[in-house]
Amino acid sequence: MNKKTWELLPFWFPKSQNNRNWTFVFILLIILSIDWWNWEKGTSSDARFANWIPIWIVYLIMIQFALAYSIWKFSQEWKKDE
Amino acid sequence: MNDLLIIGLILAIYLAISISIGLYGRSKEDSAEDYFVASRKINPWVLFCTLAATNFSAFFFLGFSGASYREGWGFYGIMAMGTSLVGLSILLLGIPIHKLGKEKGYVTPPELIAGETNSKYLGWLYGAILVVFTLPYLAVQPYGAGLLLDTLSGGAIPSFIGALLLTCVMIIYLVLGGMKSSAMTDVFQGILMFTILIIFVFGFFFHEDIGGFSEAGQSLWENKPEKFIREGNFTWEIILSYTLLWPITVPMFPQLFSRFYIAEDDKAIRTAAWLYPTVVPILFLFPVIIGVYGNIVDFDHTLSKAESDNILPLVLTEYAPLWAGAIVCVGAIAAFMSTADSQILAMSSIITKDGLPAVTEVKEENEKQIGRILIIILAIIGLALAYDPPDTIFDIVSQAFTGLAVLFPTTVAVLYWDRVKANSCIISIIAGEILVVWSYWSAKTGNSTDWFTQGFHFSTPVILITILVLWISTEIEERLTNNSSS
Repeated sequence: MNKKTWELLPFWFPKSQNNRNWTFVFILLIILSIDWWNWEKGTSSDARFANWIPIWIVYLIMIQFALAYSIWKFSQEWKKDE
Repeated sequence: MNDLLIIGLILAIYLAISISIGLYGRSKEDSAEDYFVASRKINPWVLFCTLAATNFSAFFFLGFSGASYREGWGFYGIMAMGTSLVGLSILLLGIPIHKLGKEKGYVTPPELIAGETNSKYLGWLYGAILVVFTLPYLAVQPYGAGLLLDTLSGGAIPSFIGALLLTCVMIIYLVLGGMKSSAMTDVFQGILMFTILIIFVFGFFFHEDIGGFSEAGQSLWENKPEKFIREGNFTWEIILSYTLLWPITVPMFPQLFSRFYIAEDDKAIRTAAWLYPTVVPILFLFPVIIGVYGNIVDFDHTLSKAESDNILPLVLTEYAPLWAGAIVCVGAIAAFMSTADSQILAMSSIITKDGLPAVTEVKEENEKQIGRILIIILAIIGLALAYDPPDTIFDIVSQAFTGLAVLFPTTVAVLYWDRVKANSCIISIIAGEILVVWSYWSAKTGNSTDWFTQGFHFSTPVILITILVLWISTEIEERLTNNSSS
């Protein structure tokens, strides 16, 4: 996109390649957290971990830790005007 | 020892410590900036604790466990990922807000919005929305705390009396110390509430009647297997809606927004940004676990929707000795106080710095005193609203959150988009709030809004339309300005 097109975007949009990569990571983590492909499959007893917590909750916790790690890395390098 | 005496003693110790920390945190400086933003000298760890304690409220303790009791594990999906994403908002909004606050001396959110757009009208509108939609959320706090004390004491401490007592203590340390006291008591209250909650969950599962995690899981699976699954309780559209709503709405809480000003530097905000999503995945589990596994407890009758907000103290009275129950209640009360004090202080600063100057002259040397008087008035309003709330905690808070989320597009545009115009922001905020009121009215009158929401939570289309209105009106305003100047 050229400079003029960028200016048409109403909100912050990553201009550097590095920030675009991070945007991709964060969107991917949000998509993974929704877990579309496993909806309607959580009804069997096998879907529980150690009997008491659903597997999809454990999966969601893992995704959140991946997000926390990503934000930690991102926070070390992000500058507002990039 | 008399039951009431035990509860009173434990509560008195907690309140005495809170007031002492508040007094210790008092500053000798006498400026409004020191009172409202702690002279912008808060270090990373205190900043993180105060952000977390401020955001994890009575809604976190009671609302989470109540909704999880009703809807099962799926409620974790509603809250957790979106709240983790708040870390990203803290980084992307917190750093520019902190920088502008330090450079230009902003103390309140509307000051920044008005200052950066040169529009006092936008500042007034922004401030009014913040106050109007924070009040119901504020009312949830004393309501929740009163409910806890009422249940634990078996009705000996009526709900409203409990709420009144706690509000009075909060007023004392807020009036004396302002933001610095609020932040320091947040650290104490935050550590206290999480430690107690974690101990309580383990204590519950290892109670001889429960028999451990695995046995409790088996019992729940045999009796109410639907509590384990998302399907039937939620749809992916609703989970996605909330995942996007939390990072949008949480930084719009005035009590959170104001905390971006108090950081000592950028580094403090960067640290808070990654610590926040690091603790959320685990901490959010605990109230959800209590709610979900409250379903294996035998009560005399099936709990109604409003009664289920009380599941945490009900489980406590069933499985914990009174002294332990009182300590857990103190943890929940800490959650209430750490949020309510910050909300009251933020609203007091908004009215002092933005609202009153619109109608009368306010001298700088009087701002601190006016702020103190407003703290008392706002606390009384919160109590009055808490006297007879109309909905469950989750319903009240959910409405308030969408009203605040409408401010997000304007805030991002002011921070990141050079072309933004004040009038366009005003139009987009008004359009968004009209939709919020319409959605609320439709829900109350039983009119379907399914054609509008398409399966998503109503905040999703409302925010999208707000963004579109802001964009289109900016384009139109820019063209009109260009035409008139040429």
